Amino acid sequence: MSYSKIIHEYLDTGVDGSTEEMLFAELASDEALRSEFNRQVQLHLIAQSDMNSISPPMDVTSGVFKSLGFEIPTNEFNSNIATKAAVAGSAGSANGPMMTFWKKHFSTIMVAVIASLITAAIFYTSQEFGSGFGDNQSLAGQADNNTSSKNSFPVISSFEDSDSQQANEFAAVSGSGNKSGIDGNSAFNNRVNNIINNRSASNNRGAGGRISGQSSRNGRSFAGNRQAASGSGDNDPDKHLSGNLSLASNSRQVIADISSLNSANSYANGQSPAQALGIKDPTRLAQNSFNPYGTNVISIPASGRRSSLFDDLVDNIDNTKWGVTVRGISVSDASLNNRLANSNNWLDNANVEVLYKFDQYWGMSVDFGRENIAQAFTGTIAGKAYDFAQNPALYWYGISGLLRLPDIAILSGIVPFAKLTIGGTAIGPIGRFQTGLRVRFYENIRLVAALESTGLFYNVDGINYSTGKLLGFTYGISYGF
Amino acid sequence: MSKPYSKYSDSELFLELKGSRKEAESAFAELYSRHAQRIYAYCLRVTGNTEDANDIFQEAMLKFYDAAAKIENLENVRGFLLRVARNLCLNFKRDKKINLSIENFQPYSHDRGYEQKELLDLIAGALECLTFDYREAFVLRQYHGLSYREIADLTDESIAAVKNRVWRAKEKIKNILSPYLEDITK
Repeated sequence: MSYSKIIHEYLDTGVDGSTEEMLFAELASDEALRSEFNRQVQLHLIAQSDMNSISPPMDVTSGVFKSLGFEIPTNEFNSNIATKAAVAGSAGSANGPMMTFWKKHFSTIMVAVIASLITAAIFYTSQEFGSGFGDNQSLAGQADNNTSSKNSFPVISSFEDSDSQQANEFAAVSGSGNKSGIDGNSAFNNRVNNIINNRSASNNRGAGGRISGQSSRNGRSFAGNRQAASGSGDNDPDKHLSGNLSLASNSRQVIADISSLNSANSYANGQSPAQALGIKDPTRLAQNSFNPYGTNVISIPASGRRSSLFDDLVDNIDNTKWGVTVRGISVSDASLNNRLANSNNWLDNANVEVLYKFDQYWGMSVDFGRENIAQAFTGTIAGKAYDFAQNPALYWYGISGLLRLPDIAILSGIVPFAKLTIGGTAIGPIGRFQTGLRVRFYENIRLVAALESTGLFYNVDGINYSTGKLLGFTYGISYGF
Repeated sequence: MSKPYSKYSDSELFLELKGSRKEAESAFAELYSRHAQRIYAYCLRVTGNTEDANDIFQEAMLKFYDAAAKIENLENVRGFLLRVARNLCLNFKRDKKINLSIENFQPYSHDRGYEQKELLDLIAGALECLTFDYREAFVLRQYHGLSYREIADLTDESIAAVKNRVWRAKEKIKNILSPYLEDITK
């Protein structure tokens, strides 16, 4: 076989590795062969340019539609024919610019919307609840005013692991018979005196009575209720005017129903909260539901994240430290689809990740994959620029950060996640972003489905390029151990 | 409310051609916008003549529309359109000699710095020097990007024969354009 034919096959369908090496070795030493190579490349480019330059004339289009008795299309329709064929392949639209816009940018918009929602959820769940009520200082000030309107405030039970010291101190205080009441402002400034931490108090049963915390979710404690204590000693739940409202500081919002303050008053007067509330066996109470008046309970986990409706469902929690994920990737550039033969072979567009999970939220992984990544760049022939597109299968590798959000699980076992990857290929750096869902399928096996965006940066003839809109889906399976 | 034809597959649009007048018109417009460019390019480069290409292309599109009434389902609309256009081109070829000899190939003056249009005219002129079979094979492979399997199915030839034909067509065109390609590479 002549080298000319080998070059043809190399450009046309590809050749095996040994033939390719032989060809490149010959190209390196034979200038005439390099010229032949260039000629064949140019011929290919010219054919492509010629193809793109051809479109049916308007009078021909009009003739076709007129012959069929259809409305003669506009010039815009005709001028869009070539564009549609070139840009969207078989996805062209005749339904106007809005539809064209949506078709062209739908994937981008969806990725942006989902990423925004996840970001908002992260911010929201990491914020102190109740910031909308103003800061603690203002609440404390309101408490000072001792207004009756406070009785509409909800009781919030929060999970807090780190308040044991405070609770201990509180227990010591209450155990010592501090019945003099706690002023709201002083309580605000000294949370030792105003936090009733049930779980911690239960560790000091002799001193502070007990309302034990419910432990759940991997040993993560549902810590004690924080309740404000007032100092008036008023035991009448109907009289909400007398108690100073004391608030826990620690920038966690504790909003007390004045009614519960009265129970706290009783507590301060020597009764345990359970006794004050008439609860026979408070240890059976989940603290999330510790609201003697049955209303306005809002739960906040210790981390500050709001728990989901399915917070208690262990399906959302991934206890494993390691994970291996195998996934297929279906990411493409819609504007190049008609110019490129995308591989449908699953193995040509796959990724394997080995993940280490720091906790149930954060993880880091090492990724390795192979993928057809569409590229478009400009080649120059005789000083004229020609568009060129290719879709080579590239091996890529990278390091990823993974964030899972079990607290905002949509349904049991369906956990949103986001993953950012930075890595490299043989031709340049690559970045990837995924956002989607991990669905617990069976024990430690999870299905992964996500939207994915990829950016590859490469250089051709000294010019830097980046991939355009590589968007699509990814799906796979993950095993934790 | 109009149907979202842009989201329909070719096969679904083909079925819509059997529907009401309005549905058929919208579906045809969508199919036309998807495939007209490629079919016209095939007609133009295979016939090598704009007027003939216009006639064949129009006739192909009309035959395609008429076929909707006779064919129940159509999975490969593009392939069907190409086959219709090809048959018309073969009929045309029977009636008229459409290839030039290399001696008749008179491209633009042999100057450096060809404009884009000149380059495209060069290859169009070179194609006219090929026989129908070579020209068609080259167009379907290099212009349309069809696989050898698709070309073989369309032309009722073996894959090996199609491969050989594309290679020979490419060599011929390369030889015809050789002086100009040499200039371009310099």
